[in-house]
Amino acid sequence: MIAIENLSKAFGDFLALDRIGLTVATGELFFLLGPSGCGKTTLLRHIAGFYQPDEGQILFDGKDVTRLAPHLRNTGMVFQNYALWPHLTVEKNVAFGLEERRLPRSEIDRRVAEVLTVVRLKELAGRKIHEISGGQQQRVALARALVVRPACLLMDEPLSNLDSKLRLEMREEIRRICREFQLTSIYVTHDQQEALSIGDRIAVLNAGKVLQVGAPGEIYRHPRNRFVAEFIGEGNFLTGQVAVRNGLLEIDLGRRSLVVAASQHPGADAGSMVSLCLRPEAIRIAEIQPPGQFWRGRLVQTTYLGQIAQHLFRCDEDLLKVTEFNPRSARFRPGEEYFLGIEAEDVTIWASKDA
Amino acid sequence: MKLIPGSKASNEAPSRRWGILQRVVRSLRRGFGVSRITLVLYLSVLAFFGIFFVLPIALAVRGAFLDQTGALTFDYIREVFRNPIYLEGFTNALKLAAGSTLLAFLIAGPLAWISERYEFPAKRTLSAFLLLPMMLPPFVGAIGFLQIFGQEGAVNALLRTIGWLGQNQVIDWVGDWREWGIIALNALHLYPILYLNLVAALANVDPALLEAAENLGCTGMRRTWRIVVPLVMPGIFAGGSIVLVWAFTELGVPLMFDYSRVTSVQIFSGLSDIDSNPFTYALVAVTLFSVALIYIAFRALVGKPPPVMPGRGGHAGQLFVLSGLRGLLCSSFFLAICFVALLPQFGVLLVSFSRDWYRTVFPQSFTFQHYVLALGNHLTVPSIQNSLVYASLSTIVDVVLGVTIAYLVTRTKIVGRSLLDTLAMLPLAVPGLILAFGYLAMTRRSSLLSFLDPAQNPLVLLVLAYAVRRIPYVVRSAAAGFEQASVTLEEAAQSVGASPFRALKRVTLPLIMASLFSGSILAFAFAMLEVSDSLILAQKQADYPIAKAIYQLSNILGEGRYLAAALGVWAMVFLGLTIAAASRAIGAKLGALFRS
Amino acid sequence: MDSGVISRFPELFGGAGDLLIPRSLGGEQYWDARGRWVGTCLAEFGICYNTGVLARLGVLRPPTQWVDLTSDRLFNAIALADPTKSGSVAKAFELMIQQQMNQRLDELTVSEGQQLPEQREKQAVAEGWERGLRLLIRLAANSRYFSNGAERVPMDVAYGEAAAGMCIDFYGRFESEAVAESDGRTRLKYTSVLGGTSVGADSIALLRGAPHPQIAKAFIDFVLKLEGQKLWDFRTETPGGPERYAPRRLPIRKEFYREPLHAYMADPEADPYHDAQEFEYHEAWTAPLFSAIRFLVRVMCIDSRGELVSARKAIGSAPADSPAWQKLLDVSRVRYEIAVQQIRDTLRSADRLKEVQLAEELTTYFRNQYREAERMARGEK
Repeated sequence: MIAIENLSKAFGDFLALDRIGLTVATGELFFLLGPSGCGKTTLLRHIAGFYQPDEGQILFDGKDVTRLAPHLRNTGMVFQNYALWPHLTVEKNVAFGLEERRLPRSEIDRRVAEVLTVVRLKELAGRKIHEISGGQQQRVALARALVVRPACLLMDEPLSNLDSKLRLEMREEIRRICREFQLTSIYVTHDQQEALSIGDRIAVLNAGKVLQVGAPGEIYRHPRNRFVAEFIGEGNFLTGQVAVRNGLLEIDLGRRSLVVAASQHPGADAGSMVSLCLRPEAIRIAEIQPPGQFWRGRLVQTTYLGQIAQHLFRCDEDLLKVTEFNPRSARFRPGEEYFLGIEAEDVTIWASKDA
Repeated sequence: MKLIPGSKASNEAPSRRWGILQRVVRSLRRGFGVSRITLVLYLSVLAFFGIFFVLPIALAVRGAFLDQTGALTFDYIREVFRNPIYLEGFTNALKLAAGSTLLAFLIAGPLAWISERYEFPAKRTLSAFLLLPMMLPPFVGAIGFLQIFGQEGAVNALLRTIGWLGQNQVIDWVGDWREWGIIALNALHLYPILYLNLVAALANVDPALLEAAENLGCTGMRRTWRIVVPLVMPGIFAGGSIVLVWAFTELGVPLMFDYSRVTSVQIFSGLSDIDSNPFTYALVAVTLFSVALIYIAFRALVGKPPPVMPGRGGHAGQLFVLSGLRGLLCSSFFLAICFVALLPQFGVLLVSFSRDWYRTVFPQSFTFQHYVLALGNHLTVPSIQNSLVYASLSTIVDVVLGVTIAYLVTRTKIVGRSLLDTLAMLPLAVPGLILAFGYLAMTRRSSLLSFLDPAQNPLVLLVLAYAVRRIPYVVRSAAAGFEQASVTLEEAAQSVGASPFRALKRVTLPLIMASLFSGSILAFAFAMLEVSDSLILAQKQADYPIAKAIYQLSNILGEGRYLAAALGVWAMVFLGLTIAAASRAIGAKLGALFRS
Repeated sequence: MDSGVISRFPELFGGAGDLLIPRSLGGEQYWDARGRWVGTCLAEFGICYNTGVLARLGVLRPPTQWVDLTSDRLFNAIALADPTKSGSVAKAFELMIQQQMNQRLDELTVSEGQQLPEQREKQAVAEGWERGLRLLIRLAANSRYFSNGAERVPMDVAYGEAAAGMCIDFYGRFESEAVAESDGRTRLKYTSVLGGTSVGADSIALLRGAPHPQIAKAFIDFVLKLEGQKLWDFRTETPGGPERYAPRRLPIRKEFYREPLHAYMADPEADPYHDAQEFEYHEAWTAPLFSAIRFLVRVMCIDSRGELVSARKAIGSAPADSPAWQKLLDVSRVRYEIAVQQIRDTLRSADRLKEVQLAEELTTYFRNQYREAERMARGEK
């Protein structure tokens, strides 16, 4: 288990990490997600030992490693640019860490062969780095980090240099390998798809702070603030005032309102201002009045994307984004008015100050 | 920076000195944040430069400001500026330097322009040959030079043979054209530095910029003047300042011409009574200040290089392939420059094989005898051994220091690493004459370092002098290597369990080897034929390196000049081979080492 | 210290006999009465010249005296060594001045018989000094350079860079042989300057505290015995002669200048004992001014050589009594008394600033004088 406690780091006047606290469970594939400059790589490099924090601690299985040199931490790191050694072959790159551990030659050979099989590079063992493709290089980098059986596998945007198809493929590969080896892994990315698709848990960072930690579904469905909501997926953000009626919350949005269960939103007091977030795909368009809650909206514009279509509706003074799956062409016509159905459980509400 | 305590302590500090101390300690602690080893390395390198670079220069300058009682005085300096003899030496030095630089430009400019623009037969080989004159100090060619340009030398004999001169006519090249001879020899020795700088600068001019200018209707000379010249200006000034300073303090060439009215020779003459003559110190101080002024002036002229020099675009500039007559013309132009520049060295080669060479274009009879005799001479063989030892040791020192400095500068965030960077480049700017003089001053009897007195054993001082003078080449090449080998490669090694030292050894060092190797070869080659340090610091015959042995031999009657020539040829062949190997290893990057 | 050599070689250092080496000759000491040092070979200064270059310049008669080197035809063709770099070179310049003093003394002795000898000597020294300095100026006016080392002179003369130059005898003879053709003809010749140089002895001594005194003594004896002395100048392949080169130094023993040994000498024409009688070195006249002479050569000849040479060129073959010549050779500023007082005292004081300032003053003075002379010469034409 990796525990990060109250970690802070400043570069000059720039506060890169601001009292970060996190725990990563053993065997977990943990994601650090955030926009560039949010501090996620900085945090990863602290865990690897390349940076020393100004304050706070890093514990590996309860042992304080905060001041421990990188090579004594038994981590394996996959670098964004792979950082493969150009003067060594694939095999030598992978064997490097084992050689540093002074393992017997036979053991080294066995384990290198094993891991190269896992990453499906066995045939390329003798090649120099510049003789293999980007995807293959990525797998060498992964193999090199895996082969030392690290206490923690650290990956810094490992797929960002690959084209989109390869990225999908490698994403699954990484999940498979992490499962197979029962690895505790920390994966840095700015790509929410990667995080949502294979992460066990995700920490969303911004401006050196951890905004939210949770399983993918939780983060997506219940973002703690507008930043998280916006960073992971899209949202329609509206503000309104709370009124309590019959154990239900009615949020007054001017000429419209929305009723949600109070139990889901314990922070919202009567009379307070709140922000609410509606995911575009949670809104259903209907030509006839649907059951449950609905608003009326006039279609302003449609963008057709093949598997989905993105519509923009005007409801009173607000513009709402609505996603339609499996769209049929010209089913909804701009300028016409439609019903927009909303389920209360799809709505996220924050007190205005948190948004 | 809340983590560094004590920033408000200055209120309580009893004195300013305490505050400074605190700041130093704080800086050191910040340095400590990097690592203890880094700090130790940093301080050792600083100490080395302090003792063997800054101290000797400081001592050389200090002597100019102390009178016999040890009190501060400006009389000596004032006298230097008042005294017509010193002033004359000074203005002559400036004139010679300016002339040499100008001529070097006239040689290097067309060469660089052709090289950047045209492809012609044997271009690669000829370009490599062009660099040779820089490696062979003109001083080695002295004997050959007089044989060729002497009154009864080869050129006059040639002119006589073709009938331009009567049987009893001579042209006194050396006597009547003394200053011009010095300028020519300096320029022919130093033009490669400019050539390398110009080629590099021209190569940096993105052809797209020229195309853009052409697109807007600016072509031909006008385009060259408005686009190319401003862009290569930094390169021109960088190379020009090195050449200017080099020529300004050149010692060997004026000595060859018996030209004593120049500061460098005046300093050299003053070395014999260094213990009692403050004027030599004063001359050194003035020279050093002038050198600093030259650099500052040049810096001011160029300003800072443009922040983003657009790199060469996607496509390379087109090289016009010249074939047939025009190609041959270019080739022969290159060849001619090489030939003229190496003429003295050819002379040495011929002398070394000749029995006697007098009033004829070529020697009349040839012999190997001098090479045989040289093997048994009490000066030659030990001098080769000495030079090998000095040069090898100094190269080792250079490599160790150079890698350390380059590492500190490129790989750590230690406070003051830019200072270290500057310090490591400074030896390029400080003339060998002055540094050697400083070493003498530093190891005078009764001084703290007198145990290093070169009169006892010059090994340590010579090795260090060679090492310090050449350290910029090694630092530069090592730094280039470090910059190419990305830090993450080292981090990757650490992350899989290699200690920082092991990571350096197994990953970075192999990667920077090629670049480091060529820098070291260069340092070694220069040390093998180093002149000013050798002349000044090697004082006992048994300790002479090659350069001083050649100088000494050439003053021995009878066969001395032939032995000197044979030794010179041996040294040139050796150097040529090393440099050929180096330039093969480093290729075009050689130029980067000579940019200030 | 006394090596006992005097008693071991009574035939050389004893009472009588025609092999006896004089204690001093022409004012030069040849051995120490207490045996602390003894001369082993003799050396003198002379002139080396290149026959080819002289012919080219139209000089038909080879030089034999210093003054011959001041001929118009030898302008820019004389190689001189820098006396501030070498003691023996400085000595040669001192001897040139003494030659003028000797000559002046002879003239005075012949013409003005009624003077007291001391007065006559004093006048001869003062006037000879000025003549000597003028000779130096005229020599320097023809000079190509003042070389750092005395070796450069015979080498450059041999290779035609200069027509003639001042030269230590064995340098000249050695280089002469080195550039000789296979038939023995040589373009470089050496000649001694009769009456223009003393003949000095190069000596050998046993140092106090020498670790192996017996070996040292044996070596001293060897050098003085015939077998050692033969090595100095016997031709190669003569009985007892050197193997590869004769050092061309003149042995001190008188046997070598008579038959039968004379025949084996590489330099049979040399007779230092004869040359030495032509010159009398008076230590008291100039020895105290040794540093001053170096100093004066520097300020009058070396540091102002450019102006001097250019003035000499302008003067060309003008008669010796022309105003330009008079101006060029004006040495009143550095008369004997001034040299003795101002210059010597300044040099003896440890104040380098004063010395440099005096040098500057005199250099400027002579440069101006030479420029003036040049102007006068040009004006005359």
